[in-house]
Amino acid sequence: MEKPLLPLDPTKPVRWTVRNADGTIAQEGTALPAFTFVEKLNEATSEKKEEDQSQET
Amino acid sequence: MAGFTNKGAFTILGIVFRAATAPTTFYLALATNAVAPTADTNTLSELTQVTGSFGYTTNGTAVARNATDFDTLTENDSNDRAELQLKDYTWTAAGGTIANIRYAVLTDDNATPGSRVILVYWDLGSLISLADGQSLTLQNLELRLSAA
Repeated sequence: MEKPLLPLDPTKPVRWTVRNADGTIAQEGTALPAFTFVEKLNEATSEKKEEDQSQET
Repeated sequence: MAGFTNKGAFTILGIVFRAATAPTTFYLALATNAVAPTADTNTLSELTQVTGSFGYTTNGTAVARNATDFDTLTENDSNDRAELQLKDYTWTAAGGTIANIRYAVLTDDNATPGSRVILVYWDLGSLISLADGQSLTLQNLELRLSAA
């Protein structure tokens, strides 16, 4: 079976490959991972303080 | 884009920290480009699934909640994140065309398929159609939990 032709890309680890019945590659691509961020509590608190101070002035 | 839906993040946090009931099984479904999933997408009924014939089963393929189907879990200290990947999944068109594949989504196992919560979604970036005999393999479907 033909190996994927696209180089590995750490920023787009998801790979999709369409193969013909004989195993040759008809189409391929990469995609972004599904990600979410965990907001750092100290940064959030810091931003909130700055916001409060600006409202007071 | 790809990402966790808000409902997905809510569901995951509930399971981990509030002992909410976790799905026994997840489902990996394919959707067309008719409606793009976003963070605000809640359930499978909000998307247009790929037509369930010729090798694609409506409502998707079962994904077990175990280390076999989620085959790679990595703590990545260099990039401050954890990475979870699904094993490879393949669909083969048999007897006709599986058309208009654009998104892959991971859902829970609600008994009513249309009400299944979309936890995570991936945009394949192209509109893919499989002619009779062709197959599509999705590799390294990855979920990342990152410290911003």
